[in-house]
Amino acid sequence: MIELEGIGRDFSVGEDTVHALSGIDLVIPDGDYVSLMGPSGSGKSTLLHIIGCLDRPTAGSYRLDGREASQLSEEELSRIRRHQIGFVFQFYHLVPRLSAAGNVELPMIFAGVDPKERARRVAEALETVGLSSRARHRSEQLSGGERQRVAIARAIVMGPKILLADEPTGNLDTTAGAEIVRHLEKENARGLTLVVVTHDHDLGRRARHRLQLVDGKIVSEEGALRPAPAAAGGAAG
Amino acid sequence: MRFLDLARFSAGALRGHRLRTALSLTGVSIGVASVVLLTALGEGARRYVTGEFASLGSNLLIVFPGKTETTGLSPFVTGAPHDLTLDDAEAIARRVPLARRVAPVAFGGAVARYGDRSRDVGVWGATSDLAVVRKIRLASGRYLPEGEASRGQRVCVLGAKIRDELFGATSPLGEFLRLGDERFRVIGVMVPRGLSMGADLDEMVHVPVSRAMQMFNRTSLFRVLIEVSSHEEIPRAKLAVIRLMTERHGGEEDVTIWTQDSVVATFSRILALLTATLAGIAAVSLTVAGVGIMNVMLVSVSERTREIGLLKALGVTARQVVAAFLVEAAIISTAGGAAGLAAASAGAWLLRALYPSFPVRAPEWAIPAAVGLALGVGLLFGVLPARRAARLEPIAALARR
Repeated sequence: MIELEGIGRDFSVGEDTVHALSGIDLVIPDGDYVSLMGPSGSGKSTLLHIIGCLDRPTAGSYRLDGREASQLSEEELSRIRRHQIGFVFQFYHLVPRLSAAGNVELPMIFAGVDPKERARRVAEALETVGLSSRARHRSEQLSGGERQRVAIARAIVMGPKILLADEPTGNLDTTAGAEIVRHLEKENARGLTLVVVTHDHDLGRRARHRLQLVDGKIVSEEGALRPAPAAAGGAAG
Repeated sequence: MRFLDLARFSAGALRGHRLRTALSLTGVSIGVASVVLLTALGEGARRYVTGEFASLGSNLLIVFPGKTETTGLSPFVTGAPHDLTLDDAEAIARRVPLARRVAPVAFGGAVARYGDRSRDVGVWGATSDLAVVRKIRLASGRYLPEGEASRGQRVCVLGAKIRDELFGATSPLGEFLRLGDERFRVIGVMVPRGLSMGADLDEMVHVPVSRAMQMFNRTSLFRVLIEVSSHEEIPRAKLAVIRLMTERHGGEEDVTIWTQDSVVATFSRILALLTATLAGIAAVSLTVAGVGIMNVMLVSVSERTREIGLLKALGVTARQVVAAFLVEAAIISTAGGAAGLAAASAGAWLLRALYPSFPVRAPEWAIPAAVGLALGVGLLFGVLPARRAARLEPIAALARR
């Protein structure tokens, strides 16, 4: 359960202060499917980073499963990112020198997972995104859609509860984009909370719970605060 | 996380930038090689010089007539109130048990003639013990016979240069050499020794000591060489000799005793300082290599901003990021250190092959010191880049394409 209350995020740019977010109140129950939409600079990515514990709000309270994030140390936030949260980025962010399997393995290496267990989970995650045959390929040998699927495999390999995607289809053609959305929604259907930042309306509309941000404020919210259906199909259309 | 995984990850990162890795590795190996080689050279010089002194006999005391007021090392002492006589030398041999061998020496100059050739020579009046004390080796024949202190046969032993200049190709053994007005039978030729304490030993002729004293009409010896069985006995022997001489010379302490100890110690100190200086210079080059590592790591950090941001997003802690970069630095310095040691031993081997008489060998402490220093330098200069990496804001890092 993600609970945001009066969240604000100020950046100082020179002598000015930019209010990237202000007064955000939002509750995302477990298993929810949320889209954050809005023009560039509306603060939707900042909100996603705060939810993902990559950034700290300058005002308000963020409770993740009842724990106040502002009171956690960097070390504890790292642990939350490692175990609870999976990220998918617009530019994939694969490590170029590593193979697809190596990239998927990366979070488990730093989490100290046993090598045998790692190999098993890498195979499983790549299987999930349909890339078993590409395990040994390096990222430059993969298409954009394949790279993003590797990124999804990497995001889910630690078994997180929350999947955060920042413009996951922003760099892909329609077909590849649809494939990525399918994989993300499949994870949501398995029970993961899915939060997608996008300015693609077709993608945004697919979510159950839709938010519009403008100038750091929520200007519209649809489909909010429904208790998550246990494992229903995610495509609400 | 497991250390092996961390090491593999860091090694992978280094392999990803081969040229950069190779360059900083070279820097470290040059640093380590110069530490080891330069200290080896300094140490070689020290061994060489102390070895030379040891060949003179390091268990040696030399007694001069007369008392110098300074603690200087000059053997030429002025004003001798009492002679240092052959009897004194015999008394030392008899009454100072620590004196294993006592070799009285008289000295003078004479013109040596053989056939129509002649030249000025230094004449040492000596006994058979001198050969042992000064480690004299013979090229042919034998040294002065035993028990010749007082009998004084007319026999002589030639320095290598005298032999060459007066006898040329003919064998001098059994020939008669004229020294001043007397004829001496040549019984031996010494192997070349070169300069020692300012005198060319190869230009000397050795004759029995009593004969030399008669020849030069002297009552006083030039010096008495005393050998003790070990280095540690030198101070006690020195005291005993001084006490005996004072007693024999009417209560007056009028001899000077010189030991090689002080000279060897001084040289050894100077050369140890030289080695330390060379090591210091080498350490500077290792530090330069360390700055090189830091530079490489800093470039690596800024090039891998995105990767570091990603790692943080994946839940890698700041501490793990620091560890990953430090392990990279450690790998570079360890590998560089190993390569440097290999280069240094190759260099030392080459020097030994070229100059066999010069013992180029790194002191025992140099190798662990160089490797430890390389590792220390690598880690020290790795800290700054690693901390910079750890402090990177993941969002800022990820925002870059």
